[in-house]
Amino acid sequence: MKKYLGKRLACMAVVLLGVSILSFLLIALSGKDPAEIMARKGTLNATAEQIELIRTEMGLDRPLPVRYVSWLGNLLTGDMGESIYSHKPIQQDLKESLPVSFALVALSSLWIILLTIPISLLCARWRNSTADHVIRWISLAGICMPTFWLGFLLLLLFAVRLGWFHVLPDPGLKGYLLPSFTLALPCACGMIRLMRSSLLSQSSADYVLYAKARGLSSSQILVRHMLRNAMPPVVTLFCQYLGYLVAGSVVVESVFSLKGLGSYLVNCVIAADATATATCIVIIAGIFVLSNLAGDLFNRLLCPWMVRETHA
Amino acid sequence: MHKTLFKNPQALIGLALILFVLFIALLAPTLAPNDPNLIDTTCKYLPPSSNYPLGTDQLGRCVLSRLLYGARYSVVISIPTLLLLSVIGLLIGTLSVCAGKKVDFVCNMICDVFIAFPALIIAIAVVGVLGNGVKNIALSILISTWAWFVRVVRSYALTEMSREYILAARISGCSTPKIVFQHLLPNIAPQFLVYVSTSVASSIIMVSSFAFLGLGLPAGTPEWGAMLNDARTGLYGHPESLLYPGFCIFLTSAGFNLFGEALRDHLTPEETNL
Repeated sequence: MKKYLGKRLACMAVVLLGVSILSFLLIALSGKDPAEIMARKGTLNATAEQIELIRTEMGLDRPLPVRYVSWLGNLLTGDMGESIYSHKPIQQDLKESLPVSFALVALSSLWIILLTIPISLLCARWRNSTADHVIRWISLAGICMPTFWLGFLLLLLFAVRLGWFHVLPDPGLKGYLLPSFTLALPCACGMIRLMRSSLLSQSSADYVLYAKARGLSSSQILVRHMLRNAMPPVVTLFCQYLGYLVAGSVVVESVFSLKGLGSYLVNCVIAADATATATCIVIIAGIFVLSNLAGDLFNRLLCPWMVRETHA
Repeated sequence: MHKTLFKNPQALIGLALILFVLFIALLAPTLAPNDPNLIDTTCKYLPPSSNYPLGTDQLGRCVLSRLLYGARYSVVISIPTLLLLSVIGLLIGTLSVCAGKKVDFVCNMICDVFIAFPALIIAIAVVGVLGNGVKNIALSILISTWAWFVRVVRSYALTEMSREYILAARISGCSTPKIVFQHLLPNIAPQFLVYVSTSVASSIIMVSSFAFLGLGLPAGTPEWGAMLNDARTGLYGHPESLLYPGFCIFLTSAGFNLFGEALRDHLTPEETNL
């Protein structure tokens, strides 16, 4: 386990390094001159000398590798620079937007878990029943659903027709209910499909036969034995989805007018704020890599007998 | 073998939807009753009539014509991009498996880095850097998803390469390129087609997500996602303008997903019978 963990952490460090290099290249190659944007912000008619002065001050005249190292150092120490979009330090913007995104993603994960486990158990227990077929078609439809459309449909139904919610986010937890459900549904549909087939693939295992011989009922076998063995691929997918939830929140936040990391990112892209964009991307990619690692570790604890050396 | 595929209603529905969207995309100029970009503020939000079969939007543009032209953006961006992605995936994926451990390790590492960015996020950033344009959207999808294609091909190729027929081919003196092109590729092609088909569905959703967020395409483009974004002001008064474009995206992506799924069931019957 220790050796494995060391190997995984080393790989993760390399991947994160690659991620930061790519993000930095994105800033450097964006073709927009941050010095010029800064200069024009101060005085409308900035002269070439003024721009040059700011360039030297911001250290933009140094070669790329030097700039990369100093950018990475600043990022790690929490000094991310000032956002051109909001005219505030980026870390302050993040302090405001990250909690919104985290609440959204956390609540969505809860939805996913609450929907996936009971429904896929139901499908596996009564396989090929009418309920199973209906759920299969609904979950297929859920995968094809663009999240922004789903969000509008929910708004139309619950906010406009029924009037239970407001179109602009309600304060507190209530404001997160619809957005998190919108974000969760397509993922939950994918999870249900995977978990159903994962459960069914266990049904021919020897331990199921043995449990039957011991006189356990089908439901008991399903919940006590097959559930745990069917979990690893589901956990892996769930942890990948966590990364997607952060990404998908870009669209959902726009539908429900929430001010999280996603809408901040889009605004930064539109405002050509390369530094803030790269910072957001590094954070999102970091969350994705970490959640994948967490998924692998969780699987090792859950089913140590299934451990396989994957490419790492 | 393929006869049974076309008896499967799921495959038929999927294929019919795909052909329907392709047909509309090709013939949009002939089918559309009006110019999709003609703004006429005297006829805002007209109800459906013989002139405007689905009515008009907030700027008096014909909704049906805009929907028909919208098919073009999805198809024109997604399908060529996916073809290019398939070529990249097959090339690098098989190369990675056949060219030895060091190459494989480096390929894997690079893929890991690209996969660490959720596709939508890196695509948004790339569009931000490159600016608007259909080509740039295609390029950003390419950059954000190529690693997944390589990864998928690699895993298929790894399984196939350990099979006995490859060994037999090698013993009988086949060179590596010959094995790849004559034995490996034909055998991974069907599974890969399943992946490509479902990827078309997700890339269609991605394209319209861009347009919805106001990235990549100029304002007023008759693209389904952009139309949804334009229609959001009518949430209370004109909900129907929110329904149509989303339904089009849904149907298109359902077509590719249904077909891909049916193909998968067809290729691995033992799993479906469970």
